[in-house]
Amino acid sequence: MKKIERLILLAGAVTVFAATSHSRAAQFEHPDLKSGKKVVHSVLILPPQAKVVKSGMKGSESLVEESHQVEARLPAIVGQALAEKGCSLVPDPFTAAALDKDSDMKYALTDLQAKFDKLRGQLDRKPKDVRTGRFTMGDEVANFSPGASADALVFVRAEGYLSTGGKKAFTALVGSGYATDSIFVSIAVVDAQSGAVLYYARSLATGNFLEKPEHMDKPVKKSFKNFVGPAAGGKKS
Amino acid sequence: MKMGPVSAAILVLCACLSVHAQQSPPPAQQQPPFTFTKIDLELFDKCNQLDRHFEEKGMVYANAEATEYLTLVGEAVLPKGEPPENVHWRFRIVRDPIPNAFALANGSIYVNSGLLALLENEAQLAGVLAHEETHVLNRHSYLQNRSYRKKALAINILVGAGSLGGGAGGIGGNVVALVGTLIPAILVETIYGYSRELEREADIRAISAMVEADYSTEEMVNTFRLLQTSHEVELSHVYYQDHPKLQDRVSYVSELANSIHSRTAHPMVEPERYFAGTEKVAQHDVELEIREDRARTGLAMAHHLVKQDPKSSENYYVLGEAYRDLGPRTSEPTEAELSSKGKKETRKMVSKMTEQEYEQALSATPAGKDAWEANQKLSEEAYKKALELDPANARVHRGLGFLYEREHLPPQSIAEFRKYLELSPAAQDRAQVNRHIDALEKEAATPAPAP
Repeated sequence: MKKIERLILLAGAVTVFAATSHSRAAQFEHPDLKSGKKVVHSVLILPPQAKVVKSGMKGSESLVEESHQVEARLPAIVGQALAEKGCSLVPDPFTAAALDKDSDMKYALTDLQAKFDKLRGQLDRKPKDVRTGRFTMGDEVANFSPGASADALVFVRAEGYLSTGGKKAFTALVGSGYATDSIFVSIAVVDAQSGAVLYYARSLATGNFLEKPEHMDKPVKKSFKNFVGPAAGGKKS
Repeated sequence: MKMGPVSAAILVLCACLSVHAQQSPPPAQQQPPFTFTKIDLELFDKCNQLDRHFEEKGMVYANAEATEYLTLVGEAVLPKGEPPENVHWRFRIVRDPIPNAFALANGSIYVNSGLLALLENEAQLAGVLAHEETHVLNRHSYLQNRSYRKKALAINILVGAGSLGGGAGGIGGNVVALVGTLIPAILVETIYGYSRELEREADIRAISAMVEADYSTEEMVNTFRLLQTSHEVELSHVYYQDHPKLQDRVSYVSELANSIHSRTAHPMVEPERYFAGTEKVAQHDVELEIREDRARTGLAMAHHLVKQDPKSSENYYVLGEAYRDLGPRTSEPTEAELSSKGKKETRKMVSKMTEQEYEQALSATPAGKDAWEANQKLSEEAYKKALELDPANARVHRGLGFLYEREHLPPQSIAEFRKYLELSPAAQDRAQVNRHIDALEKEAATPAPAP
């Protein structure tokens, strides 16, 4: 019985650690970006990918339209934060009309996003290794023609959780579970030529981000606190 | 015996599920007309959203000829007359190397490129489409969705009970809550499969639809056999190989196929027509397999393409690409890789390493070096055959350029890259290739280290 109790305690400690480490906002920069050896003058923000899940007493469901709302809002916030760092933004080539006309561009974009998601597993496992220049998407990223005029590609991912009133009340009653409206945003800045991950940041915004989307602004902007852009003259701002 | 709170919670869940199972009516021959509830209409809207989502996210393979062929075969195994309420039949190809197919409740049927590349003839495709159509015709998604909502309520009960029982950390509760939150209901039931009974129902109607359209029903059994083949070391549960249990399905479908007489003496199989309709999809799929680290499957598909159409330069090109991508791996998994120890080691390496690090680690082993030596020769042979068939196939020169670069043969590599850029002046990867040429020129200029 003691063995079981010890196991329960250990699992509890692991869960608490995982939950708290995920909620911490953090930034990780490549040594070349930090030293000013690599300066990002222009960026192309790839269409963000968001997943919003509503959790209620009758189960959980993915909210497709609401996910689109978040995806539509994020490029402006990320773009503004990067512009404040002195980066110029390459105009968005991924309009619905452009993608409809050009299947090859659509596939290239999908494949590139999938490639990033594969690397993201490792990024989330050891984000500190960005500081040693460990992560790269490979120089095939240079084949992505919409990114030809940019120094870096920006990948944005968001995971939002909304709970219904019933779920919140139930969670409060039993005293455990996830029932806080929140959204996790991960941002990676990748060298458009070499594929090296130059910057990786994670942030957490709490509150109903659909009713008040401005809740996302501050944490996302804070994600770029350590980003060394041209405005800093190659030095850390 | 004293019962802990977690055990009690599990019992609560089991009780809820078993009560539900007992209440489920046995499959009836004549089903009453389906009445849409609010929940069903919500699911219908979700399906339409998913269709748009797949389209927008570049998941649908937009090849008009292949899609038209798929539609033609799909319509041949549909019942005569108007589609049921809220069903609009659409047949699409998904850019996904996993051999699978799924149907949405609104009548959208998706077949993965991986399945189209695996199948061998039109009769097999007809069987797959008829099976998926049954899920739509018999409203399986709606029924499962209604059932899921009841189960979800039970899961929530367990979350509460588990958290009460698990102490401060609420371990049991958190784990179940996380699982419950992350499983998008309709995708799980649609893609990972329905209950055994519903899958059986779909198989039975598929057989009768195949007979009606004069397709060979034996090919449905062959489809299951094809699904059982794997060229990869599967590190996790392979859902398409357990749908519900393939062996079980093979036996009851074989029995049924043998007991039903075909309409004609020679029912249709149509391997040539199938290959003509899906060759482009299969070529595209080999590239997807390569990108998804399924090099061995990609190689098997490429060999199949070459066997079917040995006069196609493009087929030899994808074969060359597949061998090059195979790199330090053997063409089939070794005994050691398939052992539980081997799988454990691979799982550990894959979880800790990036793609490049894993490739480097494999290349450093003696077995990896031997495999690469063999694969690079076979890759070169395939590329050269592709050039023999079509000397203007620019991508072959690109492939050879990368192959020679990896073999540290700068002059040969530079020549191939230059030929590629000459034949394809507007290549999207021009900048990347030029950078490789620069690096190779530097390498060629550097004197080789003394032995």
